[in-house]
Amino acid sequence: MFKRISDGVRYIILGLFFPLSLIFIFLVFPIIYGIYLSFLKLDIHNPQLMWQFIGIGNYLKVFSSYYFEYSMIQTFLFCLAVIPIIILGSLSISLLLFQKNFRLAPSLQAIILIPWAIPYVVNASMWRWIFDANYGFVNSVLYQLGIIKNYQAWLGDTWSAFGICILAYIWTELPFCVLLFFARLQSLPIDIYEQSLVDGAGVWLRFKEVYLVWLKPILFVVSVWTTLRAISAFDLIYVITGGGPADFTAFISFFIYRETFVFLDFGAGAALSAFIAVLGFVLVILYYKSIKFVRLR
Amino acid sequence: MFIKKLGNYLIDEKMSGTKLSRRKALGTVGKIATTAVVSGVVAGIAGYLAGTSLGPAARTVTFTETKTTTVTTAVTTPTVVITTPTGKKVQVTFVMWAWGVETFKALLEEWNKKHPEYTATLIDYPEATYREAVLGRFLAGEPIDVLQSDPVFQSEFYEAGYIVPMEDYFPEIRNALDDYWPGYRETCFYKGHMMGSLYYGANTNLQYNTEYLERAGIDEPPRTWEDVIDQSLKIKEKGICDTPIAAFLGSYAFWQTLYAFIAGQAKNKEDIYLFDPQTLEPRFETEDHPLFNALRFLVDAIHKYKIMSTASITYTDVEVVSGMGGGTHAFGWVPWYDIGPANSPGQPMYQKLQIALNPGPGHWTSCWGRPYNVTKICANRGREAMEAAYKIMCLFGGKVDPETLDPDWKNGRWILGLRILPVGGTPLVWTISGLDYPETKKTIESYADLNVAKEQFKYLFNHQFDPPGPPHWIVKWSGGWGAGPARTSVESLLYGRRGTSNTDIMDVLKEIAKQYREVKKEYGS
Amino acid sequence: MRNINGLVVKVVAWIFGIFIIVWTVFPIYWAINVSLMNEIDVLMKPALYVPIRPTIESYWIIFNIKEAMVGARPGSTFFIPQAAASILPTLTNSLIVAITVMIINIVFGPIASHIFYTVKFSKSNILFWIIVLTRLMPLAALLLPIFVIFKILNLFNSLLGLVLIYSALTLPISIWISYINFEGFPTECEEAALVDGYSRLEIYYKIAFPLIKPIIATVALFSFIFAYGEFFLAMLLTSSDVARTLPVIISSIVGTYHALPSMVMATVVIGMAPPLIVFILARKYVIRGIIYYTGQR
Repeated sequence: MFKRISDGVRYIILGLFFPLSLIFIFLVFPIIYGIYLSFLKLDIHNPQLMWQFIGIGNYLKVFSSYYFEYSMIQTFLFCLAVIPIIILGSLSISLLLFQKNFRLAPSLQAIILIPWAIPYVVNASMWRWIFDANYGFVNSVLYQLGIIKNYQAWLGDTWSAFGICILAYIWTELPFCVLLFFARLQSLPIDIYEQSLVDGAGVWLRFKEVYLVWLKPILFVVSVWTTLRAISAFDLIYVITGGGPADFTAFISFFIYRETFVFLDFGAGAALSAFIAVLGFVLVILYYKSIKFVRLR
Repeated sequence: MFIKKLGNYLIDEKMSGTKLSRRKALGTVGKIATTAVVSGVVAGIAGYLAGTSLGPAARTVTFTETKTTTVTTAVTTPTVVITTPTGKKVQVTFVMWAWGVETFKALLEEWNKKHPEYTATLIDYPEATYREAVLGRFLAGEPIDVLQSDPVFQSEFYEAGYIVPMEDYFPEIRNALDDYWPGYRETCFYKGHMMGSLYYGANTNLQYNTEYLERAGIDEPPRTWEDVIDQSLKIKEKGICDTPIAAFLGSYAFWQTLYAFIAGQAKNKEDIYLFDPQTLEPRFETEDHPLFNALRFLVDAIHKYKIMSTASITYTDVEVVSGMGGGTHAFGWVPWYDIGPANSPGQPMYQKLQIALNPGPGHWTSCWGRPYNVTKICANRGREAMEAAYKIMCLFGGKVDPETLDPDWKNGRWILGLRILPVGGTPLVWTISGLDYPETKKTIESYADLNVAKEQFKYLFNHQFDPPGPPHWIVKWSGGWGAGPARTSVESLLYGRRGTSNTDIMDVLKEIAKQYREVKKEYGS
Repeated sequence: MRNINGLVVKVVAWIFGIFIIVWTVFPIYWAINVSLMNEIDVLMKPALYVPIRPTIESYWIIFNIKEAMVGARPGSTFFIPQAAASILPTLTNSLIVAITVMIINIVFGPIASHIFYTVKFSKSNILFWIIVLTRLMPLAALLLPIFVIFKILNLFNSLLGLVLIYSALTLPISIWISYINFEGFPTECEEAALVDGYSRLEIYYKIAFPLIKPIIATVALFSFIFAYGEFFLAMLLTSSDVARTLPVIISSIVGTYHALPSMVMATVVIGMAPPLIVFILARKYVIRGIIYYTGQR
């Protein structure tokens, strides 16, 4: 009987059934349920009202909380710093890796993915110790070079803690984007290369006409990925600064954790997550529209 | 048939470069299938939820005030008596956070061998997320009978209906209280019920560097807070170290260490309370209150005299131990369990560190206890389960006979405390008789003066809002082991972001009082 | 752009390249450096840049917990992370889960995107975007729903549960990455093969699959590293060494009350090693992909 199904359908079933069911059960359903939960009162400290429908109550609570405005500003600044650097940085590195006669390329290729491969718990402890206030590498070097007179508490100072977060975050996230660009570059059709070489085009022109055009779809993916990851940046930063000097590096995703696990208000946590998801969605659409626009040009 | 219909809808097998012919049916089929799966799952869940702990819980919460500060050894009749048929092997699940797990496991193995009628298993979770993991266990209905807890969790779990007071089932557990230093007794209680005995208790101690003091020409450790500043300035001037003062204010320890500074400013225990025990109103919005003076001291230390750095506010255990043991600081306000490691062989400052009484008119300092809790799931399983839970609680948090490992409040010893001595931690410092065991004496004396310790233990203030126990919603203000609005505000003051004048400090106090009142309004009934 | 014209470009590239190498490797060097120090050296001021008295004490303690507890110097017993006894079982678990997730992603990711790309059915676009956008929501909000599902399916504390949830989390990205890289692909081969009577499935694994080897490598790496390093869900969904993964144990050790910095760094190095080894092995396949592709052309 299986043979009676047309080839195309069979292919679809074979290829899509398993992944789709996994995704629907473990991802789509939880998301929908999560959104549903955001409209309920789910506060362990309020047992009488548990599971009651309160409409946008959680959202109002979150938007008017002590942390919301401040944290959004911090998150915005963080994203502003991190996203362009990662996108441009990974683009340039991947192009560099691609040059056949660049002698450093093989060694670069060998090590570039290492930061991303490391579990971030491990990562964060490493960075913490490097910037340790009493025995860290940074203090040691700067002191010996005479740049600072006394050891500084890098993690205890607002902007330096912020900078450390940016540094560690870029260190961790950049390699994956390099990988994305690089993998795409490798499937660049040879005839186009050869064409551009024959035409004798200069470096910049080659970059614009050949690479950028070919990489555009991946540029979209990388931008979306980087942005979504940046606005929900939490794990790495939590271990390094725990939210930074008095919540200075407590970006908005932090408070999902805080509402859910410290304050035990799952409804508020769900509402905040839904908000961040919507924010991400809006940004994705913006990127999509701008890519389309550029294409038409 | 169905399949044939599918086939009929298929149009073109060819793949053209771009768009293909529509396979509407497949799309619809896909949609129907997925909706069926999803709704089936949802229906299943809804039905399931209706009958489990995840469903709506009908609970009325009444807040009754019972002040229990007296301790009696009189064993009253249990308030709850349950009887069940005997015979089957009873399962007990013990949950702890991941410290000393191997030691606990070994002891549990022995106990299991000696009690063939029970099977006890041990589950552990990483400390940083212990509360969430335990909550997850409760929500998921996974087995959990006895667990390590904390006064804040305790109140939450009790209000949510997950735990029950051990004394309602086995009043004998109150015997533990006699052998605790006074400061620790209240930590076992919530709303007048004793929830369980202690896993351990510890306090914040002043640890100082004897060599640095000698080099600076100072004879005695500081007895007042002015002394602390004077001595620190002397040490700094002599170039011995740059930031003589360290305090373990980072990670989970913010409140416990801050309270050491608060308590040190008070002469009498009653003056220390931040909140009125009866009305739960904030009492600290005045320049007379120890909280104000403590913050004054800290802000001056960091910003005016520069004898303390903001690194203290981010310290983790590893860092504060390294700080004291490595000689970066002369004075450290650290929890007891960090004193030993800082003063251990291999550390640069080995044998140069000593403890002293907390400065201040009353030498009060903060302490905290970690009680064990027993769950409702266990109670619902009947008498045997509860008895097993009681025995486990005594094994890990009570006096047992060293041979049979059964509870023996008269002649037993604090076995777990003894077992954990070589591993570190707090060597039975919360117990009175435990300090006289030869093993304990030997351990403590290797890094601290036992007499000073015993003197300090008379002046311990349980920092977690003494009777009637922390209100279960306090976490929304304090943040508990994490951060909440109050901690963030006080930290920003310590970082110097709010100014350093008296008015600035008062503003911060008013702010956290306001936050407290808001939380109380929403949750306090 | 196979040849870098112009000296300026070359110099810039070299400086940039060396910077990247140092930036990537240094933190790891520092972790290894600290892990090889003894208790006193680790707390030297200024810090030692090379371990002048290297010792593998920390590693020995971690791998021989029971002996260390008994025979080590008195006082040093303070610094023994008992959780380290579980390193080997959890490492095995991590590898099993990661490899399984990787295989699932390799098998089902590209094929799903190939279906989306070639076999267009109605609403396929929507389905595709649903899949992609599911990754918008930060994980913390999904915890309660995931708990519910795990309870129903009885997946707590099981490797199967972890494999399923990680697959659900990685498949959308794998599908998305693969899809993007299909764009611009010549489909004449496939069309011809169809006409010739090959089944869709055969077309896929004979023609399409070999052409996207670099993407397969990317997908494999991504899913492996995600599944290996994921901490949050692993910690909440497992409760014993039967199913616990390595990052959870590492966070216990690193967060231990009395861990020495050298011990912490030794744990860090141990945590880094497996993904690095896998990565070194996988790198060959990423590069092999180019040769195959260009060779075929």
